[in-house]
Amino acid sequence: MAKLSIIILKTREKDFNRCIASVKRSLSISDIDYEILIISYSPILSESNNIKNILTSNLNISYRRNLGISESSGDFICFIDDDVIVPEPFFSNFSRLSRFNGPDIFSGPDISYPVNSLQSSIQKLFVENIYLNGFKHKMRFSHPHTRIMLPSQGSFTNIFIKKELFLKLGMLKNNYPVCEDTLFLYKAEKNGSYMLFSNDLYVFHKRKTSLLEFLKQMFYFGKYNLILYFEEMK
Amino acid sequence: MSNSPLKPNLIAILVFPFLIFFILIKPRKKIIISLAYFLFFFVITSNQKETFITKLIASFFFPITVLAYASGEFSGVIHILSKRLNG
Repeated sequence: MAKLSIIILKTREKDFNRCIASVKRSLSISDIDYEILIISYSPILSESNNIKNILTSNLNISYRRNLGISESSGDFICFIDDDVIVPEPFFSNFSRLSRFNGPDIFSGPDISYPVNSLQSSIQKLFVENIYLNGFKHKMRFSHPHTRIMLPSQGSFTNIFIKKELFLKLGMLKNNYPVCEDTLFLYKAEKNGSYMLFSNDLYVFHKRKTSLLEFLKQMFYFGKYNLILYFEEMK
Repeated sequence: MSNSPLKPNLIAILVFPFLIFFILIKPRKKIIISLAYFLFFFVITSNQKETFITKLIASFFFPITVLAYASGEFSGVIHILSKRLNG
């Protein structure tokens, strides 16, 4: 069984605590050999043999992820956002799916947290229906349970990537504050890699906490979508 | 949350001319277009369990988020142009 390196970037304390608790719970019922690498600017309390804390003051997401990759010792790299809650069978499902030898990348859908506020409900409507992965999100649940997809349709919210792919394609680019994951996955796609997308690998993902933040995110997606296309993909 | 920027979206090219068009047309046509838009919004969000009021409020916010995305695309164009002009 391949070893798994789980990389989590700690930015929001409250969300992170919830995330790490769910990750530990899910790992405890799986047979997977793992290590957790937490990249943060402040030390964590629960460091152990399997949990390693890497301290850095650099806030660049790609830089921190690259740091995690270079410190990892697993055959598979798993990126989990710190505002994600992992369901219990998540890692057991990956353990089962990783027995397929073909795909270099494994991923699943991200579903909104159960929300109560009006503002969160509005964002949920936008995100799950219209924007970003909106139409894809709908498609994901209407399509077969496990299927092959193009890597560029994935994101680093919940993803498993073979480490050798990073050695082959290089690390993540540091100069983009958003979309750096899509750029890497696009390179993987050009390299001939493919992604196994399974509904069993779903996670709960927290949406932005205010509409202003959501608008800011949309602005940056619009901006870097275009810059990436002209600077990297053309 | 991420997106797939394999091709730049045409939102920026479409949104601003549409806004000008919408401002210039007669009030009756404005009502018809608005109703068609609300209907479209309710159809594409039909799989969600949110209440009618939430969907209605969301439908008012949606154009603002499209404008934010389109403004981002324009900002990207300016970024690329200024980089190319500076060599």
